[in-house]
Amino acid sequence: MRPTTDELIAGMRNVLEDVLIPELQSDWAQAMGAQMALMLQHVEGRAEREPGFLAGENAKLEGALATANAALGADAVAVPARAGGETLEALRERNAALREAISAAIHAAYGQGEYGFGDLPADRLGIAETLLEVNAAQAQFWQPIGFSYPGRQRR
Amino acid sequence: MPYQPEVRREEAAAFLTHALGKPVRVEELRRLASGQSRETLVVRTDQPDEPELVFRIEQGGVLGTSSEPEFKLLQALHGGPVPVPRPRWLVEDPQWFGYPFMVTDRVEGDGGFGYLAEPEKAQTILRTYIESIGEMHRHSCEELGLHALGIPRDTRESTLQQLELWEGRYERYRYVREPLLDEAIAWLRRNVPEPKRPVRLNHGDLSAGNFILHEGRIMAHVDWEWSNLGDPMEDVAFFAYIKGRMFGPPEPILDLLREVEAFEIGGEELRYWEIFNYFKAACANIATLKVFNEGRNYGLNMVAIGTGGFLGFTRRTAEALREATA
Repeated sequence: MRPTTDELIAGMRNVLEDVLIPELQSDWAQAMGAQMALMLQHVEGRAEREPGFLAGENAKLEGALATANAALGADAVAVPARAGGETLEALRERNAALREAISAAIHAAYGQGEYGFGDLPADRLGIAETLLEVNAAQAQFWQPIGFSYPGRQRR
Repeated sequence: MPYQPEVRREEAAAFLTHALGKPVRVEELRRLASGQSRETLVVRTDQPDEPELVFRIEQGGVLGTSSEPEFKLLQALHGGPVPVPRPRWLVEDPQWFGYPFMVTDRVEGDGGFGYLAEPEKAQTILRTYIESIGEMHRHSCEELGLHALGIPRDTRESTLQQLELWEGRYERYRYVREPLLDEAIAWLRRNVPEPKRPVRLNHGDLSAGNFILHEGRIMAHVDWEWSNLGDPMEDVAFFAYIKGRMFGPPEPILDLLREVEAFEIGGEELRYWEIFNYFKAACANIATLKVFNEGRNYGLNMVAIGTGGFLGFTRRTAEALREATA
């Protein structure tokens, strides 16, 4: 059916940027209008992007957890069971459970021995790089929502 | 009810009529676009004996703070060596604006930071500001009349209190765990610096925009909601590594701070507080998402802070930890 969701969102954004924002009087209203335009840009295509993004993040977290557990040996933490299906809700639940498990692994590593000022459990477990990659990918996913408005970006 | 100018004007007039016990009309009301934690309104009334007033309205827990401690601090500080606006009313009753709020007199001067576009002027103001930071940290908590606020025994105790406070906010406001922050919390707990200097008043959010400037003088420090009585290295690291970047890179700012502070700035302690402050900023930023999602504040800037802001400070926490430990 046309217009599609994304076409409707793009249309709203065009009206917001071309018609409404120029008419806004106060600094506050203009700041909110600009944020709304960014948010609409983010929302375009999100429904298609999010499941693949979350599945990818979960795969990275599963890998990090396996690496951490191998390093922990007898202190390995429980790997969360897979929820049924690959619905968005199931992916989100698994994501939360994997994050819990990795945090538990970090605490388990601390419990294994002496740590000085210069020691970090995620480094000892060999998962720091993966966790930083996950963070960077998240920041990318949330684009272009941010603190500054880059100006109109028409489709 | 979130911000609507005409509604706010009526609400402010109703409150002031009640508080002053006589009919008050609001001649002008404007919202400051800066400041994330409070809806900040500047109000001019028809009362010739009333200065302009500043209303700071909570936003349902944005950045995880409430007005009461800030108001009590202003009461204690007003009239002393650390300049602050005169506190007028603290109102917990949500009947007026939907949330608790506090009112202070508006201090004459400019709270903006347009001067940052003029590098020479900005450097002069930076020096003035840093001198005032040194002055703030020079006085004991007793000299500032802060006994009633509960002065921690030493900086170790205050640091643990601060850690508990920010960790509590992270736990209350997060949706999922962030393993990099969980690692940082554990590291911060294990590496609390030994007490080396007295507990001092920390502003907690030293920044361009958080002081009022008039004819080259700092007339008032404002936005005290992150203030605490603790290790003044917290303020030093916060300004140098976070908000001071509006003026320039950390090292020259640290050099200026070394000129005014009575304690040594550097080493593992400075590293510790750099990491602590990134962690604190991440925890403050994550608080905005639930506030937005639950409809307590639908300012769209909440989303930017809770996503990009949170992720950015989480990353800086993790990277600084690794630089410190390399």
